[in-house]
Amino acid sequence: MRKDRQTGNHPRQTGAPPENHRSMPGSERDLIRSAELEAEALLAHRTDDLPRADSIPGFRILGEVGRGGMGVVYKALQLSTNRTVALKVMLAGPFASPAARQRFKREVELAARFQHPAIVRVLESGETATGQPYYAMDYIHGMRLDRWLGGVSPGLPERLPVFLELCAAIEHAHRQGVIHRDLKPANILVDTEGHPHVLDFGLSKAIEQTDGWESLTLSNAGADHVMGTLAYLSPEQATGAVEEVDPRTDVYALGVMLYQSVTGSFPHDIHGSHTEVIRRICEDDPEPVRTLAPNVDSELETIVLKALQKEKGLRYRTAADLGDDLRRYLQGEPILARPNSSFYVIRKKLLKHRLQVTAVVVVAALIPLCLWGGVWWQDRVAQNERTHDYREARREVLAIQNDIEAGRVEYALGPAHALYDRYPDLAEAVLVWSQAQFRLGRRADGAEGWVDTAFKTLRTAIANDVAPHACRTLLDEMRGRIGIASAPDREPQSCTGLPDNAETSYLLSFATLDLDRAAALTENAVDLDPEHSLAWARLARLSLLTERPDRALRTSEEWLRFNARPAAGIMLRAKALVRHGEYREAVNLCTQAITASRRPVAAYRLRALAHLCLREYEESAADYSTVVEFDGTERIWGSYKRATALWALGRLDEAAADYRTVREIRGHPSFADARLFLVLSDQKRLAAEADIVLQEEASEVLRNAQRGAVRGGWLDRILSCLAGELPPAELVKSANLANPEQVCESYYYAAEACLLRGEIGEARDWFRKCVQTGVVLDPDSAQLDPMNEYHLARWRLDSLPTTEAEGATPSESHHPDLSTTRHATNTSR
Amino acid sequence: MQECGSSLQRRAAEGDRRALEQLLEHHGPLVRQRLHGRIPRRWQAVLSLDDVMQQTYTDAFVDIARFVPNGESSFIGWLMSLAKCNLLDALKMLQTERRGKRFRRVDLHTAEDSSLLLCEMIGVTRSTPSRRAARVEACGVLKEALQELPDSYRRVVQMYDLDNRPVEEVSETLHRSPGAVYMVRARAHRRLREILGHRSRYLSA
Repeated sequence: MRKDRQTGNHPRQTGAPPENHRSMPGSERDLIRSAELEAEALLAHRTDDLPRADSIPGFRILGEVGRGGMGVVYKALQLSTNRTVALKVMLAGPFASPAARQRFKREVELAARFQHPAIVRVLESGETATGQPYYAMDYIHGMRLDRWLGGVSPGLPERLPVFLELCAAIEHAHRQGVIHRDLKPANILVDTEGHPHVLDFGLSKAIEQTDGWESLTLSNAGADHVMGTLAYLSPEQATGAVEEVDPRTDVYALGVMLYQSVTGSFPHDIHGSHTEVIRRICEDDPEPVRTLAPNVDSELETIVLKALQKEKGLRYRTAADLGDDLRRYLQGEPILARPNSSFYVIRKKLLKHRLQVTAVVVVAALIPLCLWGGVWWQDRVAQNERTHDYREARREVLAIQNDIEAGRVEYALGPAHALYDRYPDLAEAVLVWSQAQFRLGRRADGAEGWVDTAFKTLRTAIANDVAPHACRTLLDEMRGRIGIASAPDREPQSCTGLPDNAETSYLLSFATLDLDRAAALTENAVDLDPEHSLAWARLARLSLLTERPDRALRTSEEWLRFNARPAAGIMLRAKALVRHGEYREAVNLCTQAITASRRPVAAYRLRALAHLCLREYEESAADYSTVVEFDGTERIWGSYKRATALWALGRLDEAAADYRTVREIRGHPSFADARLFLVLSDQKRLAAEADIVLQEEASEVLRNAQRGAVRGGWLDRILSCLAGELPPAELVKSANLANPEQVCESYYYAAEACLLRGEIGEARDWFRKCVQTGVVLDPDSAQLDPMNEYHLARWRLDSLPTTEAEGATPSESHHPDLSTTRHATNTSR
Repeated sequence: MQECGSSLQRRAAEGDRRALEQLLEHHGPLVRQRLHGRIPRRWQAVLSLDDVMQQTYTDAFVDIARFVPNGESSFIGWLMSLAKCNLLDALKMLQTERRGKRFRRVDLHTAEDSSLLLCEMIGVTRSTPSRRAARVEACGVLKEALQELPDSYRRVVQMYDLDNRPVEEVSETLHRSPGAVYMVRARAHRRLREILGHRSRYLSA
């Protein structure tokens, strides 16, 4: 209908103007005229479904004021009074359902009850000629409350009196038994003189009624309308608690409008889904008034927030109470409302955040519990670990003590000290460490200081109350041994105040230097407690040391019964068998121990020994080869002992290599030098005539060893004998008879010296004596060193020519016949 | 005009067409001036200030009963708000079209289906199972309501929403710019909502 102002055509048209286009607007006036024509058409259409201007008797319709879902409000002239009124006419058509008509009539009835200047009066009601219900009410020249608040922008002193009047109006309605339930700025008009007028009781209910308002909360179309309505819903309305609706519901709506008028905002954010808005209304506290409007008085804030309490009981009981407090505030009198108590605020916050609070409380309770549990658990683990460690330590003590009592103090010294260092409060560790020190001090020249150290260790333990009785017993015995005091005047068993039980006897077995006494105490322990596995293990070892192989076999079987350390039990039994001369059975047990043990070096070592005793040099060399693969001292002793088997096998190069390895590792002269010299001599004898190189090497080895050896010492004398500087008989004579090992060695090296001189007969005599003393001197099959000379002597005897052949030159007949060295017979010593 | 502004406003609010015309002639150019430059360059080919002003004047004639005189400047404020509303309606729809989001249109499988979809579009029903029966009823109501629309409104709704014709074609047929078509369509939808009333009240009947 509009055309371009310049061209007279539609902006996108160039052709002739359409017939319904007006010709040439040319000015704003033309546009206005065109719009007026279109508006007439629209208005004509709009009033088609409505009564004609004179269709309502007594009124002349002047125009439409507003239109809602239920009806249309017209401005009309009441002909009888010639005054302007508002006519609300119910819509026709589908909206005129019986329920809608009923609701419309109820609104009329309720509104007619009121006689209050702030409530729009119903003047007249009836039905149009077409049957549409209508009612006439005061026509208010004014505007909606929110527009009045925002548009006119009155100050707070002008705004609050409006609420005083509103409160009075609502109180009047309540006294008439009517709750509005839909109070909002859109339902309140403020006239030109600033007086409010409440209208639209369409959703109100008589207090005795319960139906009706659910439609409001179920409504979800027309978002603006619903959200606007939602903003004024009280929590009880928002949750749908119809039975909870009472006059305080309107007080809440008044509170929302009051809040809005003071702060310019809603108490709750109304954006988002209905569910979310309702949740905020029901759960969230309104933003404090003075946060949004800092200049607002705290008393006014208290009034507003009291009206907005979520619990009805905490709100003003009536609209009159709210109005009264507002009046007091305006007049500067003390208000009745009080801020929420701290207890209430805390309780509300706790309830609101009950899930988080519960979680925090639970966590707070769990933290100390977890800490305590953690500490308890750690203690328990540590205790278990310590208990386990102590159990292991007590087992370790057995092996260390066995080394000490078998004479291998130098090997036991390190482990004993390490054990004492770790467990200074373990009685056995103290006793074993003291014994190691004392025996070392007694054994080596110039090592007397160890004795004092042993005394000091025991005194410290007594001072620390670590098995003082056992320590004192051992101390007394040690003093007796070195003549400081008489022999111990107290028997270990008679220690006063000690319980006579297995554990005491077992412990005291470590507090004596006497093996027989230790064995007796241990035997007493197993008699008192046959389940004392450690005592059985100690007794088995002591049985071996005290030449009681039968008891060793029996006790090792008992120990195996506990199956605590099967490999150790098997090994003990194997040692007993070796000691008993049952080498084949010992080999079998060692094989079992190798399978059962995590570190089977001892089993390999014992099996190698058993093979050596069986003259199975090949198998022995193989086992020793496994032993040298292990770290530590095993390499030295494994190589030294393997050389014996290799020598017997005639693998002289390999034997020499092993002895060289030992020499290199030790770094000072030892029996390995003497052995190397002998092996080289054998090589020289087996080699072609006068192997100068071997001879020179042998001489060099011997000279070097002599230079490095302690002059006048035992090794020096042996080397001198082998060098021909000391007669063999002199070597034998110089041996310390109190030291059986030295005696055995003197026979062997005297025999070897004779062999070197070609004195076969004498050599055989010395070898025989060596074999005899080697058997006697071998107190424990685990003591391998003495056995070395024994084995070599035995092999030499097997290799030497018979008596008839004696007198042959050494180079021809005195060297071992390598092809006949191996004997598979199970020869016992 | 200044001297008799208040009385003109009061008379216009009471239904005096002549007073309203005078107010519009006086304030219209000011509103046009304030809207100047508010139409982005890219839309100037399909929407002009004349479109906006003509719709604004129409609205003023139709809704003058809702105007509440409140001071000298109240009328121009009211007129300005009408103009802004119309301009925003048009720009919003043009913008949406430009982004490739065709307005939710009624897909015409059957006449009944299209009416139902239009019901949903203007927000008087929702396609939930519980409202199925109400939708059918609403469909009939919509048909009646369409007949109650002014001819210019009904034709826009019929061609654009129900017949699913492009805005250019509707514009050609009605001899209005696309922007004006969109403004009329927005007015028509509002009017339909008014006729059909609040959905919840309607459905609760």
